[in-house]
Amino acid sequence: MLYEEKFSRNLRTLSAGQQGKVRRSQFCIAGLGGTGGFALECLARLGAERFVVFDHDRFELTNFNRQLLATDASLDARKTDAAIIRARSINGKIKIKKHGRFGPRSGALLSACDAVLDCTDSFATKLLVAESCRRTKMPYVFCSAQGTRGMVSVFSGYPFEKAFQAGAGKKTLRSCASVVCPAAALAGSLAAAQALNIIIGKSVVRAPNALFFDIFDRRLFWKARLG
Amino acid sequence: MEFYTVEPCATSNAFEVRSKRNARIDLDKAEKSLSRLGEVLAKTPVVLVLKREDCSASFYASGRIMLKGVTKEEAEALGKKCFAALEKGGAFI
Repeated sequence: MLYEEKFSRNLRTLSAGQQGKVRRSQFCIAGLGGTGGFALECLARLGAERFVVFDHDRFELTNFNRQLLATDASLDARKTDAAIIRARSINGKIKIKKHGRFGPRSGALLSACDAVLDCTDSFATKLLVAESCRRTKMPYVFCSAQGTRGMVSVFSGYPFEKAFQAGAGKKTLRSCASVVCPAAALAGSLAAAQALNIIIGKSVVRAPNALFFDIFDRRLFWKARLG
Repeated sequence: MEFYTVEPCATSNAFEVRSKRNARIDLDKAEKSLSRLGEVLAKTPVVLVLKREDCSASFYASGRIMLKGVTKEEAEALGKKCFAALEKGGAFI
């Protein structure tokens, strides 16, 4: 009853069937920092109740400028624990399976998921998550934010390595670069939106295409081809 | 106590220092023992921020120490000093 009331405003946009699909689906979020925190928030408010999350880190002072889950109360706490507290403050029925760093053997934990959101900030980890998704034929939502820019793309077969020319010695992503909150929030929210579209069967930005944005750019959003 | 440094950020001069046995830090004791190494800018129940010349260090109750504005070599040298001071002050728990 409480669920129906809390998420009733979704029903002006989603059908009851679509809302049910969101509720029953299991979402994996790898990385609960700048983009992952916002992705979790969006999915929880969309009415999702089942999550698998990965993050080995704790919140520190330099996370406060952009990470939704970084607060005085969560400082020095594990990001996974802060995520559980936040998600359950939105919907007490939410179930979250928490794990540390996404590693080579983490792929097995994805089998029961319906979509994977890669919100990590390390290229090596992204490669690992992407490869695990490809092996298990899991829809893989890539997102990243840096400075005022960001991007999102859904991989379902297109090789991640080809999109980012991995292996050619080209370092395309840098971790811990400066990121402002609107960029992290946009990237995370767009990733959640793509995951929603996967679940309810709407169209997504599929690799090799990607949606880019720059909050300092007059265009704000544009699509381009990766690779 | 043995410690190690890691480089968590590729694009900023920040280094994480931790004890090998993942000891937590008593920040009340740390405040006293670290005051010789720099100025304590802030202290809360979970973090203590120390300013020292051109660098700063954040000490977390969980045991993590973040050093900013230093090279890897400087981080190792400063890490050693911090560890010695914390150990001498009985701040590791």
